Amino acid sequence: MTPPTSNPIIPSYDPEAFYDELFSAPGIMRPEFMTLAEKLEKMQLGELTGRQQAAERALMRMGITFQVYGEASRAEKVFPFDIIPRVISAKDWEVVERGLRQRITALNLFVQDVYGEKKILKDKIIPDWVVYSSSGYMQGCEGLKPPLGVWCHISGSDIVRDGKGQFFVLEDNLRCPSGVSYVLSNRQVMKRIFPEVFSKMGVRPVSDYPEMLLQTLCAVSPDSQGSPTIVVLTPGIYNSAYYEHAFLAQQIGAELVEGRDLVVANGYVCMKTTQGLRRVDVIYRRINADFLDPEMFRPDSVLGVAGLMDVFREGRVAIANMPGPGVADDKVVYAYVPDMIKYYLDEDPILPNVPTYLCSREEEKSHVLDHLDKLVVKEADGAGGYGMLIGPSSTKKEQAKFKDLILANPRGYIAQPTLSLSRAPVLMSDAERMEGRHLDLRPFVLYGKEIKVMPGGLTRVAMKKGSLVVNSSQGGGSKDTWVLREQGEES
Amino acid sequence: MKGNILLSRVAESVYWMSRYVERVENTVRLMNVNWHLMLDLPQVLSNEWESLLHVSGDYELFKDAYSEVTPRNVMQFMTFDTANPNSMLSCLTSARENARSIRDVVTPEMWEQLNSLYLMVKSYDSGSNHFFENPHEFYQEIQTGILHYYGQMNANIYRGQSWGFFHLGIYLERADKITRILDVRYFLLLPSLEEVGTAVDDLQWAALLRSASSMEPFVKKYGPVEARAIIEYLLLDGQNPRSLRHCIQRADSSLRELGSVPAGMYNNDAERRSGQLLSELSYLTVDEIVRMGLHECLDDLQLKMNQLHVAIRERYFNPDAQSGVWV
Repeated sequence: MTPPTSNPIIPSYDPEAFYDELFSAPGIMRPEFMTLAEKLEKMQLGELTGRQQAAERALMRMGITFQVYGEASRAEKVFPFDIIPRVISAKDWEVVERGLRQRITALNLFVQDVYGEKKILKDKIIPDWVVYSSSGYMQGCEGLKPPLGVWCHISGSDIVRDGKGQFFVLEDNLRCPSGVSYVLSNRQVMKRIFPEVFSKMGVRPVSDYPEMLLQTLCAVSPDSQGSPTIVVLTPGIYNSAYYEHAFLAQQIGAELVEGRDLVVANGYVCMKTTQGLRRVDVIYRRINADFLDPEMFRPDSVLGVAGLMDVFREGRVAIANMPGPGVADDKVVYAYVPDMIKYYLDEDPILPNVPTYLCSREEEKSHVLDHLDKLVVKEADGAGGYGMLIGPSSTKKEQAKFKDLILANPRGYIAQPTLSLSRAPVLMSDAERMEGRHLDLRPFVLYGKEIKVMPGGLTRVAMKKGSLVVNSSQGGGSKDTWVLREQGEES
Repeated sequence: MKGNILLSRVAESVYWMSRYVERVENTVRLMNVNWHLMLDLPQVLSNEWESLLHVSGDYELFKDAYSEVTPRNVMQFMTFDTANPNSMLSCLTSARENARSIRDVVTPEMWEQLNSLYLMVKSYDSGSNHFFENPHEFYQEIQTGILHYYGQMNANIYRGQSWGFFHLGIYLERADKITRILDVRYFLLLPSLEEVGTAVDDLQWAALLRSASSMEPFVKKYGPVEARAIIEYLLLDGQNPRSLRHCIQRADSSLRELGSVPAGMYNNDAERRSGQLLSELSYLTVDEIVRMGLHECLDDLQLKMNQLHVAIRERYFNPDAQSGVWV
């Protein structure tokens, strides 16, 4: 018997010049994560790789796959998963959580205001044209009054850290943010891989998310007696997030429905069952708001339910998220979120925005055009990592193209300085070593009777060396996110 | 109120998922039996392989795509060919697509099993695995996989509304296949039914039994293989779990549970038709079948099963035709 080889993955790791989530210096993990370091060092060469592959096989068999738009074969892929967790200390998380609560409170008040009294516009804190030109603004939502005044029941803002470890909000997702099913299944896989580390390190659980989601949805039900009938409204099996829709429906005991399963009859939204029509109380929609009701929004929609919004106005069905909050997902509106926090809450933002140049402002536009090689330019209503110019890694030709685009439609573009995004080690498949990769975080926030923040969220990681784009549609992967308990805290 | 509710679309998907899985089970059994028969009787093979194409009703489609009926071509066509909607791969794809659309009804274990089976057949490399020289192991693996799936289903599916549709799909598909197999192999039974007295090879008789059911209980109950006994065993024997009568019995009791209606009564056309068919099969005799003509009799049974299928669709899957609104 040869003695076990000591595992070199920790001593050989170099965080380089970036803020690293796990390491404070080459070969040295942050002291609060020592338990994880010890576990990793104790594992045999090959063992980690073996477990990584086992994790990927399990995900494939479970069918936790997504389809990439635009690929002819409609190929199904496993969302790449890295088994080295991203760990967040209790101290850091406390700030993030407080910041998220503050932000969603202000954003919800803003949406309520925009479709209601419009005080923030009248007081000229935000110019009206910014709101009315946002592609997420929906005229049909004017005057709507959702139960409890909640518009954004489920939200997921994207958060990044810069070279000093400072947290920033990169964008807000108030429409139908997806990814929470990956958080739950990643955790399941990780519990099998590192069982003993969880309790020793005090990792906060995420498995109660479905229960909290259910409570949130029940809280807005128009029928306060008994348990409401809840449905998850999906576009169907060809949607890239279909797995998540089915998973959540199963977890919360809701019916998974498509638009064609629903009909408005006798003044209620009903689903077509084998025993006739049954009333629906709450719709957790996972289709775009535009498609919800062809009578109210897009007339060509076949995914929604004709007459749904009339039933809503009568207070006979609840919709989560409400149509309308997308107005705040716009990246020009985003630039005004710190002002909203000040205006509605009279507080300073706990989580800052990334500094943003609005091309609609003349002087900022010229600054952007002069620094296209240094800035990140984004479409104001873009998502999914598409329609971006990453200045430092772009060609002259791409910069020229964006110059034309900006000049043609200044409202349509914003620019931000290139952040030196934080990194974390990722296990390499070819050998027993780790390399640093950039990442972000999408925490999920629920808003019903009260606001609940899931500890952690989806850590998305750019699997390509040097890449700043973490979106799954662009080759990004994910990691389990461990939020640690306060020392001495029990649960 | 939540209670025991099932979307019509979900009911239909459960039904079709079950039919597709059962279709694969029948096809793999037929192919495997035929391949074994070929080893013993290489000279009769061409007829036998062609008859398989008639069982699934795909002979025309086959002729368009393949130049001749060879074991290799038929196996390729019935196992991997995605242009054939009844190939095992196509049926598994359809079953999985249906399962995907009802992930909230199918248990995670059943889904994983069906998905693994699909991935196994889809990624199977028939060239490098010398599949056509020895398909047995692969076919065996599919059969085992399906049994595993059925095991998951029987052990774990909640006995609510959806359970009835799992059963309806399985048993109506199995019933359909039994009548088709018998009909296609009719030429085998023909000589002795008409008492021409031609000796038919025992091996082919045994193959017929094995492809629709199992051989051993038959011999135990009826003794030497003989045409009338086969007809009775496959169509009328209430104890044979793969007989037509047994299938209709199971389908009928599922319909009664769904509609909460006792035997002998009916509230809708589906219950009426299944009850009628079941009583016919319960009191029919082999003599009557022979007098009527086996082929004519099978034709008639198939027609009735089609009508039953249509009645189920109208009652449960087609909500626009329903009245009964309550909120």
